[in-house]
Amino acid sequence: MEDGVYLGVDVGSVSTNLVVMAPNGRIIKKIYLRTEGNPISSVQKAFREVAPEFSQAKVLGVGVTGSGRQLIGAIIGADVIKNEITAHGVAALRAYPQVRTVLEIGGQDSKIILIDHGVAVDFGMNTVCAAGTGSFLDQQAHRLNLSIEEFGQIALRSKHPVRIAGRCSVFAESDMIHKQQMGHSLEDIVAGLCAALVRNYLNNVGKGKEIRPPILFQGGVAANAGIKRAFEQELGHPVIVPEYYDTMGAWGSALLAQEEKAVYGKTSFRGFQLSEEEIGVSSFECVDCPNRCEVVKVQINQRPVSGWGDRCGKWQRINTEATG
Amino acid sequence: MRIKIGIPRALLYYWYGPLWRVFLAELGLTPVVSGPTGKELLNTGVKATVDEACLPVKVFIGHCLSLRAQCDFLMVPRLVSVNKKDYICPKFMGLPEMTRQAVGDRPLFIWKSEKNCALGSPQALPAVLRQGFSARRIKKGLQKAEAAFRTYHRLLQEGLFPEEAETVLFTGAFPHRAEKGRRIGLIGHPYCLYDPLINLGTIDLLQRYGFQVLAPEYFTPRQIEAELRLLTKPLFWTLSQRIVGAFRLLCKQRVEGIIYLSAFACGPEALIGELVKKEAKVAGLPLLQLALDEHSGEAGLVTRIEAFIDLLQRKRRLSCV
Repeated sequence: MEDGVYLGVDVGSVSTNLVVMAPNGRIIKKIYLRTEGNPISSVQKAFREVAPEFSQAKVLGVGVTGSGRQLIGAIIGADVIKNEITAHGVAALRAYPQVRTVLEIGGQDSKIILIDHGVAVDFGMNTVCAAGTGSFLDQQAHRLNLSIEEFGQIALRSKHPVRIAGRCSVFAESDMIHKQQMGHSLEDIVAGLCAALVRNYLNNVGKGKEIRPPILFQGGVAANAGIKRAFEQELGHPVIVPEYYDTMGAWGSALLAQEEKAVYGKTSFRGFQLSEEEIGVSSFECVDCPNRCEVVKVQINQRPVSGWGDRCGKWQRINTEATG
Repeated sequence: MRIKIGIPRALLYYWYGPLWRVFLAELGLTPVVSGPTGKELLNTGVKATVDEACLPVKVFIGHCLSLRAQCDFLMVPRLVSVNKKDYICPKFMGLPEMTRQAVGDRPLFIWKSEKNCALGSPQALPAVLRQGFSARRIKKGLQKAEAAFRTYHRLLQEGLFPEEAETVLFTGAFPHRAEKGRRIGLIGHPYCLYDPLINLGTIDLLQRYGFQVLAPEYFTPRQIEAELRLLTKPLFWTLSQRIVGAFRLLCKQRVEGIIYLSAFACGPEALIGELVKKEAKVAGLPLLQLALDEHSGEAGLVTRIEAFIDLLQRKRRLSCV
């Protein structure tokens, strides 16, 4: 720890993850929290958890990814704000340098990354539909009165999975109710749902993509053994779930921060004490022109630090004013 | 008082705009071009248009509505076929009817394509306006307009974007161009590529990343035609031809990657999207396909473009090492 640490934060729709990484790329600590619709307070909570252990450590660089990356990046003073696809790809390559395909299913989006000779060459991401994602599973598990943790194990017990339409979550739900009323067993329905999700993922996200082994499966849904098995059956190849499957995005952004640090040298991290500061975010519709941009303003202890959402750049200017 | 003719800055305005403007001005009419697409305009357009229409058509209707109070006539093109044996999308054929439904009270001035030619003949002018002008004057106006059209397209072929080319054409000021850097291809229908509200400022974003953006309008129709001769079966739609031809030319121009912006629910594009995808795979060229619709959140689009640029950058860095 004397050599300093790198932080990686992945602010997703469902979970917020933070990793503390040593300069050799090893994860020293990882935190997985539910975002619960409030990215700022969940990051503050994560900071509060790591602060006792790492408040004396020298933070060398900070990377942020996930759908809340811009907001959180501006607040904590990130050195790198990168999209999830790049972050996941970088982490997958570090975990398994020979990897050719990365399947990632998160809370609100799912992606596939194709890698050739250590370079990402193509990617796909789900379109507007969320039928093949974690939140869909979450919702259905809730409907069946199951916790998402036991979901996978139940699926593994199935002998004859039923066929469920996975094209659309609304149809899947009515299909499931129908199968329940017909008297099919719970494990067969759950296994059928896993197969439907995998089918939908491969048809939607993986459409037209050549999936070659070794295959890595990451993201929160990778904890679900039922989905993993459904992937293996559908693809005919073993699917590897890496050790840090649920924090790959955060790890990737820490690795990217380290890479960036080699170029710029200095971190703009604001420090762990942010967890105790008052952070205010407000949004409004700017009426200065017909574009009617939805502008977001961020204040720390009543001082404006960042703004965005405008097309003209008027509100973004405070970004540079604040950080000099 | 001079008669004001409203021209919506949408759809094929990006291709024919200067032609229309110059022609009307030559006849002593006042062309009034609508402003850039704004969010309000988009909302009114979406509300007033049938559901099944693509976003660009909804934007067109929005422009028509925004012009309603400012003009005596509204100019709506009815382009059916501008080249022999191929056609413009059916939505363009029915554009005047769709507009009439939405706009109601304002008289329309329909610009028709005649005999496989969009540039027009005296018949292009609607009867109501034709009466006031001699055939000679109309012919002269068309000649001037065609000259402006050719100049405009020459500017596009030099790498300017429609807005810049129009400024050059009508004010003479030459825009400041960034240094030529890394090159990226951007394909799609002109009304998807050049309306920053529809594509959420994609060109701007790419330029900020230091790319020189090459679009289909960069190539001459003759260059594009030459590429299409190699197709096993001719493409039916004129606009599709431009995209496929430009795609092939961009492959040869050694761009680092190509981004294809398509309009959600566009039928012709569903077909050529697959064609382009196959060819990109064979050429080994990174391709990103994005569908645009009215609720495409900025975050989703930007995430994909950023990831694509990262992919290009990391690839380049590794190939340098």
